[in-house]
Amino acid sequence: MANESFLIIKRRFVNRLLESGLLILAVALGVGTAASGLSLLLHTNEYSENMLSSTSYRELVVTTKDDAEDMETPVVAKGNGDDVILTSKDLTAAEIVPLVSYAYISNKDKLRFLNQEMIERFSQDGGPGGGEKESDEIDSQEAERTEKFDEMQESLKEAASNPEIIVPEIEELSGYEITPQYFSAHNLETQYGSLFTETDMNSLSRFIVLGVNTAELLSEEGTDISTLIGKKILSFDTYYTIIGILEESGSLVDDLYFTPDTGNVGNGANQFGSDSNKQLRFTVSDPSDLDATSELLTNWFEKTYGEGEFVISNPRAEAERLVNRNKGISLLILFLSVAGLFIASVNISHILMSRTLRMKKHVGILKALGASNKDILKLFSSEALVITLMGALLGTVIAFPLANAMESAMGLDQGSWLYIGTGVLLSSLLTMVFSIIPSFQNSGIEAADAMRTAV
Amino acid sequence: MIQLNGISKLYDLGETKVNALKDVNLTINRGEYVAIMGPSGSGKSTLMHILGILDTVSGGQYLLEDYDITSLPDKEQARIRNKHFGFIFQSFNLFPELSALENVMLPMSYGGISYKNRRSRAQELLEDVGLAHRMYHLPTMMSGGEQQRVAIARSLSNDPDLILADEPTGNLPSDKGEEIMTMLEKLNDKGVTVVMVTHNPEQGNRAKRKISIKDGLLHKDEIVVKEAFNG
Ligand SMILES: Nc1ncnc2c1ncn2[C@@H]1O[C@H](COP(=O)(O)OP(=O)(O)OP(=O)(O)O)[C@@H](O)[C@H]1O
Ligand SMILES: [Mg+2]
Repeated sequence: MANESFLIIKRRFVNRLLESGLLILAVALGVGTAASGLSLLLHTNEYSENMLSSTSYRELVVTTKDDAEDMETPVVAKGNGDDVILTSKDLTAAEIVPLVSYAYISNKDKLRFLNQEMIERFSQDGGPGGGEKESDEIDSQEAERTEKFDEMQESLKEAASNPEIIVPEIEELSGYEITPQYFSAHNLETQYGSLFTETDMNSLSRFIVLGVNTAELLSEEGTDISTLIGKKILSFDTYYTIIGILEESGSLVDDLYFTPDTGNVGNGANQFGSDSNKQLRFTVSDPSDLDATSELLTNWFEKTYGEGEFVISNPRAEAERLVNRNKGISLLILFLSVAGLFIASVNISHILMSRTLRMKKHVGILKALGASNKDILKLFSSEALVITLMGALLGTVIAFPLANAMESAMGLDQGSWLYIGTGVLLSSLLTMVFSIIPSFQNSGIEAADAMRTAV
Repeated sequence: MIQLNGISKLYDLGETKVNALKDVNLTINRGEYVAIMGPSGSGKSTLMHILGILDTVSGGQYLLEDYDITSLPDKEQARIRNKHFGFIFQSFNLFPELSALENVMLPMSYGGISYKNRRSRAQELLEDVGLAHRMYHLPTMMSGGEQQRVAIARSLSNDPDLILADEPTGNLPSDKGEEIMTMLEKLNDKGVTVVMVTHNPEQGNRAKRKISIKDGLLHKDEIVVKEAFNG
């Protein structure tokens, strides 16, 4: 407004540029930290909620005592000795626990492919599982190896000439050996083909379901991934028939493959030829049922295998501890930053108050010349608004890198604009309220009183 | 034009109470030229503030053109001050941040007059008070007499019906005070009602009506006889 009364404010503002600049800076710092603090808390909450709502945190994991220490490493064969071995048959434990909605096995696994490069390597160092050998074994090993080598050459030649067989150029893939309920527990569906079922588990041919990125990787350039269905992949020791490709999930699943768990069905499909120890997973639909379920499962496994032979772990409990700690830290940061904002706001209010008090005489004259209380309020709040708005703008600039730094320190991904925006909005509102208080007080000054003041 | 019925003003300071005005009855008609006189602290400024709706009353009735204005909302009172009253103060009360021109333009902005019109009217008014050469000067760069002339130009910006001048010459040397008096008299000749507080008996006698206040009471209200002026 090119109004003369606003000119007064503008010129006073410019005359006290240093003070005005410091006020703006104070608002900026207060708003910046408070906004990033709020963003951090909102982000932490969202992240925690998302994490805890995933299937992995609604299940109990049963492992043997020996395996409990390295749960996420691929399960390797155990000596058959006296050790307890958990098998897919133990999934029947779920039948006596009504709260369990899914029970499945998922073992981390790797698929090694057979290709020219692989064979060459094998001929040099003895292939997978090779290495140091006792010297008296060498001869028989050598013979076995040559035989295997020929066999492999043969299958590779055969495969290369058959268009229905895929010979991947990559060396290996990560995936899981699972039982079919894995798919239901994780809400996975195919976009092409189908998932394997309980009956497929006992089938002699080997099936494989691919994550969407894995499928892209295996398909020839320019061809649709749907053409993979029904084709076979040549792995180090057998063929896998591709029966399904999963829908895109946006998670790790896209980069994996899934094969039916075969360890215990007795068809000797495992390359090491023996039963392997399994992790059993029991999923509930309501996380609050985890404790009760854990108790029932403990009873069942104790009765079956005896005490102390297995471990039932609850990943959620651990995750919740972590989540609560993070929430606590975020809350503390928010509290500190809001306290800072509050102190800044009170100071701004105070400085603006003394600024406007110095203008008491102005108020009297302005009223004599025809200004209403509302006009005076508008006049003084315009200054407060300019200071808070400029501060908020600068605060936004501060908030983004600050929020990102805090979030990455807490192990979160990049924060969203929305959260920082909300933070900036709320904290500037608080400052605005504080900075406008003096304007209200000033507009209420009685004109006659104001006229009598010396300044 | 103005009628005060039993107006009182009480400052309640807790322990002590100051009766600045006691039962003031006063009628001022359009076109009058009234001088208010009285010792210091007698309540002259208080009366001026009440007349100018700058202060509230503790009792009594203030009728402006037969309207009881004490009960009007703030916005309406502000509008009356803006459109109908012009104030001149002893200490000039110009805004030190604004040039002479901007000081004169300011009241018109509350009347919703456009920038261009405000500016040309302010220029005219400043020329009338002989300050064409001082338009862009800040008050601090002007003499007291010049400042008071700017203040008069400002008070006239919205063509007021009533000029309220509280000791307008009090801070000026007598020759500069004379200039101001002449201006006020010219305005009154044009029909503007003038109410002026003064300590100077000679100035009081130049008015058409003289009112004396003592201890918050109106104790004399006399028409000045023309001969007194001539003699
Ligand atoms: N805000 C106030 N609180 C208390 N008392 C006040 C207040 N304002 C004025 N007074 C008292 O009211 C009385 C009248 O004051 P006023 O300013 O009207 O006097 P005056 O006649 O204008 O005096 P002067 O000639 O010195 O200007 C004085 O006694 C003064 O002390
Ligand atoms: Mg006075």
